[in-house]
Amino acid sequence: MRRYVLARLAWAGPIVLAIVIVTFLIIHVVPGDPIQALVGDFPTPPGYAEQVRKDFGLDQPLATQLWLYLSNLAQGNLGFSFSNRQPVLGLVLDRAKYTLLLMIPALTFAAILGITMALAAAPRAGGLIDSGITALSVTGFSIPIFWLGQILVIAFAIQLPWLPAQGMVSARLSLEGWPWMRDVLWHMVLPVFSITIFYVAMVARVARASVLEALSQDFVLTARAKGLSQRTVLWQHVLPNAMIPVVTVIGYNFGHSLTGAILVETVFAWPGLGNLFITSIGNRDYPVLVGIFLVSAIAVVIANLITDILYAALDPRVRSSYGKNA
Amino acid sequence: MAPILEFDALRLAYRARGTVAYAMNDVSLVVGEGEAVGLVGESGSGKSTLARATLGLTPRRIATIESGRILIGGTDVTRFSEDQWQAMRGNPVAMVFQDPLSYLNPVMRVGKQIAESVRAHAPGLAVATRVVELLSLVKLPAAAADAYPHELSGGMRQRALLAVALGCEPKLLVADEPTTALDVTTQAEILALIRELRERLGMALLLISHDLGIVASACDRIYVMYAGHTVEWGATADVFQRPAHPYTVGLLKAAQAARNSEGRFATISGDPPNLSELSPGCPFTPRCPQARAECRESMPAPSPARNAGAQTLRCWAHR
Amino acid sequence: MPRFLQRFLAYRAGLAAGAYVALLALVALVTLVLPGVDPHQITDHAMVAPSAAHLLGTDELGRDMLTGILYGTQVSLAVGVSAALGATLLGVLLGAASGFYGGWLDLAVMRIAEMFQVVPSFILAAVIVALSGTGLTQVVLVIMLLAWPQIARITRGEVLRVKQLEFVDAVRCLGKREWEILAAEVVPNAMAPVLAAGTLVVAQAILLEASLSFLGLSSADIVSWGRMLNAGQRFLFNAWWMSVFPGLAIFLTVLAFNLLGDAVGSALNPRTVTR
Repeated sequence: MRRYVLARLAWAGPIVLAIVIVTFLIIHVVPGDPIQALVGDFPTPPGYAEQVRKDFGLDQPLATQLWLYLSNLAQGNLGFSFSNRQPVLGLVLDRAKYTLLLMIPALTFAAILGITMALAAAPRAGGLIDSGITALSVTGFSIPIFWLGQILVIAFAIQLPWLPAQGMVSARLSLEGWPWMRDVLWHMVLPVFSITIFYVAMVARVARASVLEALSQDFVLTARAKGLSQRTVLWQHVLPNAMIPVVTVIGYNFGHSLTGAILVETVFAWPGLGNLFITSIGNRDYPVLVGIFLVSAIAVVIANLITDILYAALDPRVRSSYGKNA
Repeated sequence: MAPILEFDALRLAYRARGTVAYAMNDVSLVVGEGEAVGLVGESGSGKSTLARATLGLTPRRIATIESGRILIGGTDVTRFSEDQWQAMRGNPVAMVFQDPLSYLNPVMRVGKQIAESVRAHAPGLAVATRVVELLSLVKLPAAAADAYPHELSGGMRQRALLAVALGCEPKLLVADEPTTALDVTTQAEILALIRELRERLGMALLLISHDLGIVASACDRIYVMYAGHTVEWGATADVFQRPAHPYTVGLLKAAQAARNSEGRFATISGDPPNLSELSPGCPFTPRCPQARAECRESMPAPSPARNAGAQTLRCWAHR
Repeated sequence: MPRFLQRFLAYRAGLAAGAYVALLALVALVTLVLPGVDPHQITDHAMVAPSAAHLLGTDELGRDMLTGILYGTQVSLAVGVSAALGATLLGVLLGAASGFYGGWLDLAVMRIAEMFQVVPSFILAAVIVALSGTGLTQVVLVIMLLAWPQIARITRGEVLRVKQLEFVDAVRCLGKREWEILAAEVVPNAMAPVLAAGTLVVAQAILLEASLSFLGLSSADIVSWGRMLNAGQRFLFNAWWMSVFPGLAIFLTVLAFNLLGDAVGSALNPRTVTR
C-alpha cells in the first residue's frame, strides 16, 4: 500500500508543477501587461505596482521570473487583493470552506441517491427506474446548472415562498449556536439540491452500469448458491464491487463538481469561491481569479490522489499489483 | 428413504427475443443419500443447466420448466419461488463451480466468504473456529482465511470454493466441472480431496463433467446426457466397460483415441442437434450408426441393455 | 454509408435532435439576413410578462425576449460549431501524429492532454477570458484550447488500432511516404468515433459559452442566451420569464447536440445494437 501511495504521489508532483507553469504562462502570455494580472485594475496604493514588479522580477529574463514566481508561491504569496484588503491565499482558502460546505453534502447525497437508484433499477433492465436513469443522465449533462438553480429559486423561494433564495444566513436576524446552524442549513437546501440533481445524473449512469456488471459476475451465483438472501447478496457482494467505479468517477470529477458549485453559488449569493470569483471579475481583481484557479487546480490533484488511495482501499487487486506487504 | 435428488422427465426451455432453446428436454436422474453419481455429456448437452436447476439458479426471466418435476429430499421444488429456493440452497444442496477465480468475490477475504456459509446454515457454531476447521478439512492453511482470491493459486481457490460449499453442511454436493480450469496434477489432488471428503462427511455427490475419466474415478453410478436427454445410466463399471447406447459407445471411442493420441481424433461424425426445435424422436438419430425408422418417430421408454451390462438406456436398438 | 443512415434513422431521439439542430441553423440564418429587426431595440414596455404582444415577455429595457432568443441562436451555434471544429482539427492533428509516430512526441502530447483534463477547465477558461478580453474570438480560442485533449486521446487510440491493420502495410509496400499514409489511409479510417466526440464538443462549447456569458464574461453588445440569463439573475424576483426562456433555449440546444452525438456514435459503431 505504501508503495502504491508513493507511486501516486510521484505522479502528482509533476502535474502540480505543470499547473503552476500554466498559471505563470496565463499571466505572461495572455495579451496585456503581466503587472495587470498580478495587481488587478482596482485602485492600489502608489508604489505598490512597482513593488510587485520588483518582487516578481518583471524586468528580468523570463526564466528568472519563473523562478521568482515559484519561490513566491512556495512562500504562499499569491499576491494581495486590494478590493478585499487581504492576501489572496488566505482569502481564497477562507471562502473555499463555504464552497466545500455545499459540495460535500451534495456529492454525498448524489452518491447515495445514484447508487440506490441503480440498485433499484438493476432487477429490471429497461424498466421504469432504468429508463428514468438514462433520461436523468442525459438531462444532467445538458442542463446549465445555474439555470437549474434559478428555476428552483423561482419555484421554491418565490412562487412557493418555502425556502430562502439568497445568502447563507438570514440578514435580519442575529443568531448564535443551534438556531444559527439551523438557519444555515435552511439556506443550504436549494443550492445543495441544485448541485445534487446535477451530480446524481453522473453517478447514476455509472452506478447503473457497474451494478449490472457486478450482478452478471459469477461470484454472485456462488453467493446465491450459499443460500444468502437477495438483500445480503446485493449489499455484501454486488455493492462492494459496484462501488469501485462509482467512487472513481466521483473523485475524478471533483473539478467538474467544483465548477458546478461555483456557478450555483452565484445564483444563491452563497459566500464561497463562486461569489468571490464573480465579484473579482466585476472588480477586475485578477490576482484573486488566478489564485482561485491555482488553489482549485491543486485541490483537484489532491482529490485525484485521495480517489486513487480509496480505489486501492476498495480493491485488493490494485494493492497487490504494487507488491505484497506494501 | 427418499432420494436426496430426483429429476423426473424434466423439460426446461430458455426463451429470449423470440428464440427458444430446450436445454433440458427429457431428463430423469436420481441421486440417493450418500451416493456418488456422475453426469457426462458434451458441452451444450444441458449438463450445466441441470446443475443450476438443482439449486433453482437458472435465470428466472428466461428459463421455464415446461413439464416434469424436481424433488429434493422428497419435496417437490419444481414451482418453488425465489424465497422458497433460498431455504434449499447450501443446505441440503451445495454447489462448487468450474472457474474458482471468477466464482469467488474478488474484494472479500476468503475467510469471510466461508464464514457467510457457516453463519447462514450453522448459526450455533463459533464462526471463526469453524472457518479454520473447514480450511483444514480442504487442506488449506489457516492463513488462507485472510487472503483475497487473487492471492491464491488455482488449486487453492478450488479448495476455498469447496470450503464455502462445505460450510453449508450439505447432504448433496453438486460439482459442475470442478477441475476443468486446473492443470492435471492439481486436478488429481482436487478429485482425491472430493472423494475423501465425501467418505468422511457421508454426503452425496453429483459430479458433472465432459471428462469421462474424472467421472469414472469418483462415482458409483453415472448418467450419460445427450442434447437435453438422459440416454443411458447404470453402475460406472457397466457403462464404461460395456457401453450400450450408440452415443456412449462413440463417446468412449473418442476418449480412448484422444488418450492414445492416435494421429487423428476419432470423433462422432456429425453435429449435435439444434436445441431450438422439439422433435419427438431420438435426438441422436442423425449421427447414429444404428438409426432405424422408429428412431425418428419417438424416444423409447427406458429398458435394460441387451448384450451389455446391467445398465438402463433409451434406445430402439435395445428394445 | 446507407447502412450508417439506416442505423441513424433507427435512433429516434437522435433523429429528433437532428431535426431540432436543423431548425436552429435555419433560425440563425434567417435572423442573420432578415432586415429591419433590431434585437437591441429598447421600448417603453419594460419587464412585461408574456402576452400576445410579447409571447415570452420583455426584459428590463423593454426588449422582446422572443426576438432576443431567436437572435441568440447565432452566437451559440457560431461559438459551438467553430470551437468544436477548431478543437477537432487540433485534436486530430496532435492525436494522429502522437499515435502514428510515437516516441517523445507521443509522451509530450499525452502528458499535456492529461494535465488539461486534470485542471478545472471552466475556471481556467473564465480566468483567461477575464484577462484577455471578452470578444467571441477569445471565447472560441479558449474553448478550443480546453477541448482538444479529448479529441486527441480518441484519435490517438483509433490511430494506434488502425495503423497495425494489414492494409496499411500493403500501402507501405506501394512506396508511399509515411505522412502520406497517415493522412490518406490511417486518419480517414479512424474518424468514426472522432465525429461523435466532435458533436459532443459542440454541446460542451455551447454550455461553456453560456456559462461565461452568465458570469458577465461576454460583450454586452452581443445578444446571447447566457447574457440574457445574467440579466435574468438580477430580476429573478420580478420577472421569471427573463430566466426561464433563455435557459430553456440553452438546455434544449445542448441536449440536442448531446443526443445527436450519442446517435452518431451508436450509428457509426458496428458493435452497438440499434434500439
